[in-house]
Amino acid sequence: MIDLTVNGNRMVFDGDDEMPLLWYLREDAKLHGTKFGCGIGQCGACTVHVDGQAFRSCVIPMRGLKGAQITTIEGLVKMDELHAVQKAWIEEDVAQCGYCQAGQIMATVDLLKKYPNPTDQEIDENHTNLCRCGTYDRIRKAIHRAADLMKAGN
Amino acid sequence: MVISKSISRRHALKVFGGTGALIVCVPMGSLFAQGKGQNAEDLFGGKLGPFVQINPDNTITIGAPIPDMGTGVSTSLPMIVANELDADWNGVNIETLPPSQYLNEKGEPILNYVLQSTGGSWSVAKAWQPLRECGALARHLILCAAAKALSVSIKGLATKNSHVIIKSNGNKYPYSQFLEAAKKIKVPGLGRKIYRGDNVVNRIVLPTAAEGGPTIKAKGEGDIIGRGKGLKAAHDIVTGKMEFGIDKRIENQLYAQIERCPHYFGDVKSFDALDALKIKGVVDVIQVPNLDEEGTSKFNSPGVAVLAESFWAAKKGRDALKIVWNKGPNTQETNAWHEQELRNAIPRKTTRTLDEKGDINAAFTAAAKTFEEEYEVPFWAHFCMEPINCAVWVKEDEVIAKLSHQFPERIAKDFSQKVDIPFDNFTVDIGRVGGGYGRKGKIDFVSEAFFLSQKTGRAVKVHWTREDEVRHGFINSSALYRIKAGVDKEGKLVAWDALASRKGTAWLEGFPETIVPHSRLRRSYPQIKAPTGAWRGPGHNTTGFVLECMIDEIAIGLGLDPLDFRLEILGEDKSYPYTGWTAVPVENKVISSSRMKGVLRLAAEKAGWGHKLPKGYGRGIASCFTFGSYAAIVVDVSVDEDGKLNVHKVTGAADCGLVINPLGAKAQMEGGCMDGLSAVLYQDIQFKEGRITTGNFNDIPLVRIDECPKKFDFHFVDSDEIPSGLGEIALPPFIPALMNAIYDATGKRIRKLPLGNQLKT
Ligand code: FES
Ligand code: FES
Repeated sequence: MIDLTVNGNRMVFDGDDEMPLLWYLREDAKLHGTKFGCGIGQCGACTVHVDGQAFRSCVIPMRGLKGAQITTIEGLVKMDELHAVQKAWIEEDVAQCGYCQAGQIMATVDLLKKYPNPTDQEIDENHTNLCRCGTYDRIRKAIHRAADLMKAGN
Repeated sequence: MVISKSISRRHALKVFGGTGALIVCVPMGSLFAQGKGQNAEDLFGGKLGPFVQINPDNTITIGAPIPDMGTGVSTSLPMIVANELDADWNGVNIETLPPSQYLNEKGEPILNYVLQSTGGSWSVAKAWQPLRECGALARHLILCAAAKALSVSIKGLATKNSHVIIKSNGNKYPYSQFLEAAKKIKVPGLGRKIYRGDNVVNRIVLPTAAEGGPTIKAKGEGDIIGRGKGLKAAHDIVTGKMEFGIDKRIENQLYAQIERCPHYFGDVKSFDALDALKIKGVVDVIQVPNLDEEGTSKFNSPGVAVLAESFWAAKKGRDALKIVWNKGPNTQETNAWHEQELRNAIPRKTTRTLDEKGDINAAFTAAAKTFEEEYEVPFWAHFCMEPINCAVWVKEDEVIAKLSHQFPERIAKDFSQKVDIPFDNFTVDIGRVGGGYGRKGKIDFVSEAFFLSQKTGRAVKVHWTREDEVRHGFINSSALYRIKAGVDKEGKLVAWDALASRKGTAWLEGFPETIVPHSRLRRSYPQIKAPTGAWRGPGHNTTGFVLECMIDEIAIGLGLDPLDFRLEILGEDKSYPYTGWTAVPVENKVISSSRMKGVLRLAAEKAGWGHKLPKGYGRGIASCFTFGSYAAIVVDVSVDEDGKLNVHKVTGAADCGLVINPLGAKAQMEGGCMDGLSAVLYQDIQFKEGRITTGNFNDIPLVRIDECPKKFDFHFVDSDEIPSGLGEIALPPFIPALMNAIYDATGKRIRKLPLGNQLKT
């Protein structure tokens, strides 16, 4: 029996504890915003926050998540207000197919905690999610814009 | 063919309304033919035409008829309608339309109103005219109703931002105010007409303005086309609400994972499912045969399916299967064998001349200088970010399908007969497509879901993994090209002899072949069985590299500037007949030297072509014609002493006719270049024993943000031509521009992809 919190809701899981968090979120919790891209921790499409830090949920078994606080893309909106990173993503018109973008956004929220004012080089070194559509130029712009929005109190 | 039941009026409305998910078999012409009751209420179930619904709060819902796989068509196509309608774009919301089609008396499937599939960069090109007509029709109905209600002539009215305005006094009235009356307006002469092209579409035919029909806007009219608009889907995407095919579920669906025979054209010899069936959540194990026994080319990969209550249980069950494979007849195929076979195929009798003009032999004998080179490209996989998926429930007399697909109309078309369920009992729900690149136009995975649902009687979601997608794809063909060019004393290109040894079409047409007086195009037929198919910019994706690097080699060999040499070859402004495939209508099927020169000049000017670069830097240029559009790319690179490539800047110009959404158009250019960079740096699918061994992003990581150039600069030619598409336009010239830049920086000519370690030596 594993109890955890997902987007502020207390949940209990008593299934196969080898199952990665990704599948729990997508199928059990019906939160399909977190995406499957590779299943081996290589692409970042499945990025969520575990206790406030970005992790690739496809390689985290449920077994390790007792008491964990999980935030998914669905939990980023607070009181109907988009997170600054989400706003920046819309303003920079980042998405093409959009499939990778929940993961990109979750990774960015964490990146901006560590580097509130990231340089291009810091982004290059720390943002490793794959976007098959190649939206990186706009992702980079959106990361900078999100940093600005956050500084401005958004 | 199953002929559908008699037409009920309820069904007819469903089609015209466009909201119903049913694909209805209705001889649509009949309602129009009756001559009476030709108002929107009767024809379109209360919508103002097939794509426009005006809501009581004066917001407007516009139907997006074509799946969006990242090309932006769920924004750009509604923009076409909204522009004609003078809609307030902020008050427009988008509804994804399911495929709408019917069977005619001969049992032939006919699409309603507009082509609804996506590929070949045709979405905007094919939908442009029908959509603007439908937008104009809706505006016309509003105007007619308003004129009556306000007792002003139509000429005395204007429309803007979803409002009717009385010109004389400036009074404004929301469209919604006239909705009820507009639905009842009769439009004499409104009809339908079957258009036959790549598909059969029963389009709406409007009376002309002179006959009392709507006025269609000229270029530059309207507030929406040509203004950069962000994706309408952006909010749903950034909040995780957007439903991709993989997110859609049918109630009580089983998850199927299939362990497929890794060897193409191989099969299951025997299997043991005992352990798999012991896994908690596993419901059934079913052998999946070849699902297209009549076909000669590869269809699905036969295998063993594990059906379970969850993805994870299905995966564990799959891992527990013990299968002995029949490896099939192609176990000799490895990368080395493929390379050799491409070469061996050339001297064979099967090598064919595709096109020849002038006297190629005499021209080479007379040439002052000849150039001859070989270029090689490996296999590229699709790596659609959203792995392949399809949920199907074949019920007693009904089919529900939920999936990502580029050709939604194929579901009913391909399976109605097979499952013996009438066409109009198919509900097809297409999710946003997380990348397609040609792969999601195939039907193999849909067949798997139909088969398993029929076997189990339940809804089944076939859920591919990344490894499945890479190993069981229809990937981009490898190829060996030989190009020979002859130049006369004046440095003019006079002879061009191009050969492609490739499984799949050669795609060598266009420039420079059409322009050179003596030319020959040939193709060889390697006996490679690796399954191949469409991949972003089919054919052009590799011939762009070959032809445009060769031109560069000739220019440099003659001591000429590569841009000047290209402009010189293109010569006078002229349109030449084009024999390759394009997305634009047949009457527009030419290739124009002036449009090509236009993009070259624009890209060169914006890139500062001719300016000196710092040491270690290089700049390259290339241009291609792809499916009706023209693009030129300039790339700036540097190469470190240890051979590390840095791509600094990409400048590009495209002439794709009228640009609907410049913001989205630039995105397609950016994406195309990044796709090209990923291909050049990483794509090299590995084979052993007639199977693909490459599996996931650990084998082929693809480009990440650190490799993305820090500057993109794209421009569009202000064109009066009809829109001709952009999704596949940037990649073909990007790769050669990059290779030409590498040559400029290092003096190394790359003639074989991927780049690999070639800069390190
Ligand atoms: S799906 Fe988890 S990293 Fe790719
Ligand atoms: S937007 Fe398509 S994969 Fe990133």
